[in-house]
Amino acid sequence: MFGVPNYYHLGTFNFQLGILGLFLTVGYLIYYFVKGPYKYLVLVVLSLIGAGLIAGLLALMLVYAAIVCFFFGKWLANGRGNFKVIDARTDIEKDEKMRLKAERKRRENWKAALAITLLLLPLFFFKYLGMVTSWFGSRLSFVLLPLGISYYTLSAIGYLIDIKRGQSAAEKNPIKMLLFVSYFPFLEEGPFTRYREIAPTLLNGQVTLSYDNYISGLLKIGFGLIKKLIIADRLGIFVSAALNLNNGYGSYIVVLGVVAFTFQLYCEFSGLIEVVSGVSEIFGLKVPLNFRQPFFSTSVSEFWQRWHISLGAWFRDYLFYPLFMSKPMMGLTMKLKKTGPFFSSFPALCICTLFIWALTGLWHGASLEYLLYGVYYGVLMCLEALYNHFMGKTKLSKTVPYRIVMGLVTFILVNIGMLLFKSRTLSDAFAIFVSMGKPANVAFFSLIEAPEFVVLVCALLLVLTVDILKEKNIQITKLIIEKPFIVRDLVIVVMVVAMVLFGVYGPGYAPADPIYGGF
Amino acid sequence: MNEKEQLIEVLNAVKPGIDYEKEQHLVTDHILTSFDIVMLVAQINEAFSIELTPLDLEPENFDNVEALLTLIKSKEA
Repeated sequence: MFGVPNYYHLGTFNFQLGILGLFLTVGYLIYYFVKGPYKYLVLVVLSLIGAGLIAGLLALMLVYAAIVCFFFGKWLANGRGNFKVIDARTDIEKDEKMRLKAERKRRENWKAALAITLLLLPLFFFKYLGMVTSWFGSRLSFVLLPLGISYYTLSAIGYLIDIKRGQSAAEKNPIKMLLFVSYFPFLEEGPFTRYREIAPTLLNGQVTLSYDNYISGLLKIGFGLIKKLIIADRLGIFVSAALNLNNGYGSYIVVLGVVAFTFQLYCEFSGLIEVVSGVSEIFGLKVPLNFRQPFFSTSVSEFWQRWHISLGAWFRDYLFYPLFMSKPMMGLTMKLKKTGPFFSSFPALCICTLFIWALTGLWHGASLEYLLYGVYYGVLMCLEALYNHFMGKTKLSKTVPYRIVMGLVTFILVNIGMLLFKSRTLSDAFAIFVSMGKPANVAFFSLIEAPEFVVLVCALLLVLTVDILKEKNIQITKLIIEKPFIVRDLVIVVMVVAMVLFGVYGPGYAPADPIYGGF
Repeated sequence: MNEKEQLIEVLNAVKPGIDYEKEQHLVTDHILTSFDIVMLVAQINEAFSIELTPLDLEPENFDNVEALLTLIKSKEA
């Protein structure tokens, strides 16, 4: 049953669910009746109320990011206009045009660097200052992290880079700029968004508010909450016990603990993204895909093309590609061109991959453990590129048994990564790893009661079925929407009943805050 | 050897075992990874004496042989 006292703890996940419910009823009604071009005003008010309630005064950091984006966006857009002015001049020679353009380009680079530094400063102070000062023996750090700072900072940087590249126009309305950085469903867990992709719907109100969208949104929210409340939070209780080193458990209990954490993280993160997607769909907005059945991957690089897709895409487009195509890296590749297409690129590929993955690790958190987590995947991807270079040519690599084996190997490697991700320190990760070789010291069903286990298995089978259908390109929400309204409504009622009966909350439980929300 | 044949040779050198004449969605169907794409960029720059930039790395430019040829021709012009 619902644990009423827990529900009103300010800042807990369940409290945020309460706010979400309020938005979906009151907010949607207002949004529905306001005309298209003014709909953004409703969303910005809702976003600021939501951010203010959850983050208090730290929500002002959103205003700071919006101000930087607004002014520098316009400044960078003006700079691009100057290139066209130089091109149009007929009174100067081609060489002079090139010189003026090179000079202008340097100036634009400085402007962009200044804007990005201003956006990164709060992130550095709130998130990384503690890590840097600890290197010098100090303990100076901020306890609180502004809501969504790791997400909206990268989205804002992407916006400015796109303007500088001429791939996006600058926003002329400061309120719309504020909405771009503060849109409430994205603040907790992302995904990262591109201004040019979301501006027509989010900022300019070009949305269709249909009953089908509403039902589809509710179905996504319901399924996402089932993943979070029935699976992830239930697994979390088992994970906390199984991987607690003080309990002294070992053998299969610890192995299951690590695997359970992997599924916990998947169900929680992808579930909350489904909620974000569902809420946005109700408001007529389409959210970019952030998960694509990651456990069907047959390689680590494929896993990261299916897991937290928007994060990988951000690092790929704004860092990996420009770094690899920089003069030093291309120069290195050209120096080695006699070694053939693969080996000439491989050293540059490894340097860029390791650097980008180190940064990806640090994005998750300001510690050496997260840095190692990123480097772990960087090293795996370099080794995988080498392995694929030789194995990709063989007939064996195209066979089903080979793909099954590679799928299992990938799953094991991902679980080792999750162990690094979960452990607070490297020594903890090592101790958990070592404990797998020790006796279990506890019976499985003393850590999870049989009925709880049955609920868990049934819910996981539901998630697996939906993932298999999605992998076969069958959209289950579309299938349900096409059914008569009695069936559609019944599905929603069943979801709500399932959450009330089987969700992990109530006086006996502490509501679990989202793991990725902490980033 | 014409440009198309030369391009297919480059593609096969970077990632063999794919029917490049037939495949129309090399990027959107996740056949080419970001690793393959950057290797391909280095080889295309060398083979066709052009300079691709990060701005050119849009999925629609790398999705099939025709799109790649259009990109190369636009850089040669």
